[in-house]
Amino acid sequence: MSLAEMENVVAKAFSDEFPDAVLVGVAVNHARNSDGIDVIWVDIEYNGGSVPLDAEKMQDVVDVVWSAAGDELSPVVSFASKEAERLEAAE
Amino acid sequence: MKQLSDELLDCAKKRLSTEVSSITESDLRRAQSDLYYAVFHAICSALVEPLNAVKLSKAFSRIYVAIYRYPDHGKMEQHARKLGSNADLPREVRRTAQAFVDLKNKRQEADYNPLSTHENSIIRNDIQKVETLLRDFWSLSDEVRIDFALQVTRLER
Repeated sequence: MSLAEMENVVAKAFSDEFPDAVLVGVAVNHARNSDGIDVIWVDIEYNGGSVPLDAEKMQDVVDVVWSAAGDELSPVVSFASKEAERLEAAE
Repeated sequence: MKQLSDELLDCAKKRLSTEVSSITESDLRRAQSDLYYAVFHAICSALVEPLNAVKLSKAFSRIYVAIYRYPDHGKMEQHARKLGSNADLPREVRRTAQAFVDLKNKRQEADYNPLSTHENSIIRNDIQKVETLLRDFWSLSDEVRIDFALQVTRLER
């Protein structure tokens, strides 16, 4: 699966699990870490919803990412509330 | 008695529990690192769990510490990646392996990449994930938990 295809899969999984949140964007990037292991960084940005998100539902999204990543990549998944960051920055 | 892993999770929470305006970049980085080590030490604790050590002789202490310190971070990531995608394993075990991989890489960024950015909401979400994960990890049967620790560290070949 290409990184672009993975972005679509992750976006759908997030929207299915968190219908009360608005997905702002999904970015999937490839890198190699200091142990020589291939890693994909999956950054999910959302508005609304809650901080923290429900842990079980986050794990369901992570499961989808792991299935899509296959055996050769280490997935790293981040859930960032843009709204929370904006509000906190304004404080 | 509280596990070291639980104390590290508490450390991460405390670092983010002050007013948002007073949370620094280093608080966020240290919290991310705490979360990785919470899971790492949970696995190390599971490795020595069968020894059931209370009072340790000097010789016993040496063995206990040697086993506790056996795990290698990089090799654990390789093994955890395989365990995390193994659909035959219990869901809690698979998810512990997945979280280990995730947190290890985030911790490396937090500790060694001065250009990386760290957001409060990401780490709050990670705290929630680790809290749920550790609760599930310690709720596993001893046999399953120890088997996972042996597999991810490859202490048993």
